[in-house]
Amino acid sequence: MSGNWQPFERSWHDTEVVNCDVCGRLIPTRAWVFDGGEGQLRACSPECEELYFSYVVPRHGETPGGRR
Amino acid sequence: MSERLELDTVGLHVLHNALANIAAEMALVMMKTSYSTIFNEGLDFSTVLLDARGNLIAEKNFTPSMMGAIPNTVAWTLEEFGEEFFGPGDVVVHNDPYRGQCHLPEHMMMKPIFRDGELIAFSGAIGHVAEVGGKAPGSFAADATDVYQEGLRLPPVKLLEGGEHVEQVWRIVLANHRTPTNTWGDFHAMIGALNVGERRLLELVGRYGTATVTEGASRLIDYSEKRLRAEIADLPDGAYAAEMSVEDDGVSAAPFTVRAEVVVRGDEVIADFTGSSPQVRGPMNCTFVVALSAIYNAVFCVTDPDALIPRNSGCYRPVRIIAPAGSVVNVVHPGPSVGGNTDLQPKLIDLLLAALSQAVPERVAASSGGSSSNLLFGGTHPETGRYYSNYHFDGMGAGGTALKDGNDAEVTRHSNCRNTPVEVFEHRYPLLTLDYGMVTDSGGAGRHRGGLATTRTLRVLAPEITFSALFDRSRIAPTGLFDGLPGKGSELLVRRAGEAEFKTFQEAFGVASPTKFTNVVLHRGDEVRYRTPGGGGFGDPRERDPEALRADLEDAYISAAAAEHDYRGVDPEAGTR
Ligand SMILES: [Zn+2]
Repeated sequence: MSGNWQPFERSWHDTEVVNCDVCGRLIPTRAWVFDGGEGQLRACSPECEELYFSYVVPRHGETPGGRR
Repeated sequence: MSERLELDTVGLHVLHNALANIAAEMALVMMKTSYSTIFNEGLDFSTVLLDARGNLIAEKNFTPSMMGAIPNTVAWTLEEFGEEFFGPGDVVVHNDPYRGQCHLPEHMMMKPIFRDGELIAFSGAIGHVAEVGGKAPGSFAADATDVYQEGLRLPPVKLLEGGEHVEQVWRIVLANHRTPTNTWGDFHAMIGALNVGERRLLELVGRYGTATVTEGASRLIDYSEKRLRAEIADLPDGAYAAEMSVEDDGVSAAPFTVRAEVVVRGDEVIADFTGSSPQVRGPMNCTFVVALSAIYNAVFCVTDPDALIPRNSGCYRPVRIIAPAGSVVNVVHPGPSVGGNTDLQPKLIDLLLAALSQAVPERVAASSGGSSSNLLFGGTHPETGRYYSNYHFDGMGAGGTALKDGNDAEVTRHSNCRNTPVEVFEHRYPLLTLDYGMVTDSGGAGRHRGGLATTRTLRVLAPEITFSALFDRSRIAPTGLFDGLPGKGSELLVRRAGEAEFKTFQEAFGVASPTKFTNVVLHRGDEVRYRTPGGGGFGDPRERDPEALRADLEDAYISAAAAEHDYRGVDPEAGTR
């Protein structure tokens, strides 16, 4: 796995919700951030990095990510 | 001094039954003490036990649509707030669709269970609360364009702290629900269930010891995972795709698309919804956990239909999902989602089963009616002078399978709910049921035909009632499978007092969708007549057993004309002459 955990810096009154770039799941407090080939992706877990490289890329190609 | 329980096969079986019985007793508490018919008659709730990390360890799962939400709401609340958020005697409520809930009416309540100061488990109750505010009585606004029109949204907040009511939170909730007395009663039924779950679990750990029970629960989860992985490994590897159109979202008349690819990869399944429509403006969007429940449901149908594997978080581990955020299968703020749970989810299950029919044709069903056929109404009761509101659903036809005809008049398989008896309905609400029955020719023809739809006619007995509805599959009929024919679509009609003919709600009130509308005001003597969708047929109708056809004709399940037209070549008298 190439990624690492990155916590969000958010206050309790920030109501934004972040979703996993791979599976769509809610990410409550910290993201597994990895390089998806076309930018950084925020995932919910290392398992989603594995899913990305083993299934998503061969099936759909690389997901454009943000430079976070 | 606790009793010794060996965690061998027999001991684990004993423990599983003990935990499952606790969840079942919790469910009885809700049935016996709740105020609303949706709980005590409809059984639109589930009761569960979870471990200290939010993994499901036992359930009384009346409602499979809640499978995705139950472990996720607790685990996400734990991650967001931390274990220190929970103290003895606390009860946390959560209905936020963007944080793991099915839709706004679904409320998950969780109670941490402590022993000797250590958090050892949670008891949980999740249920569809009948009235949670928003623009329409019954909180089912079929034309809502954002979550704020759907009702009061509660991120995880405490209803009880240290066993005491958190009065400020209750005041907000009760001021925003139209029928606060019902909310008070139903919330306390849920809290009562949590208390019973806590008490019984503490008795169990008192008997066998905390370490034995928690270690045993963890082994049961591993056991279920292993068993389900073995079942999945028996499915042929491959990628199985299917696509469907859904007729409208309640706001625009345009159809939208859901695309699913079910990938069987060794001992795991991936449900990939990439390519589905972006989230729609109306409330037909699913939340993430609803899409998750749909794939769990489809996988359990084809791998373990008799539920022989203990249902716990282990069953969820081999199933993965790709539900792009902002699509119709994973709504993001502020998109509405009330109908995604009730009326997109059953069709998602049908879609996933249609995909899996390419792998295991003998284990799937044709499309069900695919609509919960939601009817909502409220107003001031003329006899009591009190405000009432109700959420009602009716049975539809299930799809035919390789083994048998689809069930008739069955509430959707994702909800598994019961209908409300006419007597209870009429006792509580100012509506007279003029007729209620199954619809001839509504099940799609097939070697095994689709189940029959239901119809009901209601007459308004009050000076005024506000009606809303969210039905589906009126224009895109439930599909058959392997040359089975489609089931009959749904229909909603109204006849104003003094008028001769029934009309559609579009004709009578100019609403955007014939099956999805909000806040239509009806008056004394007006009548509503509706038909739910029938199930799709399975297999070529010409292969139908003549005896089954004869029985259908005798029971008026099908007409002579339909027998002649749809079952050409099958002689219902064969073998009787
Ligand atoms: Zn993910």
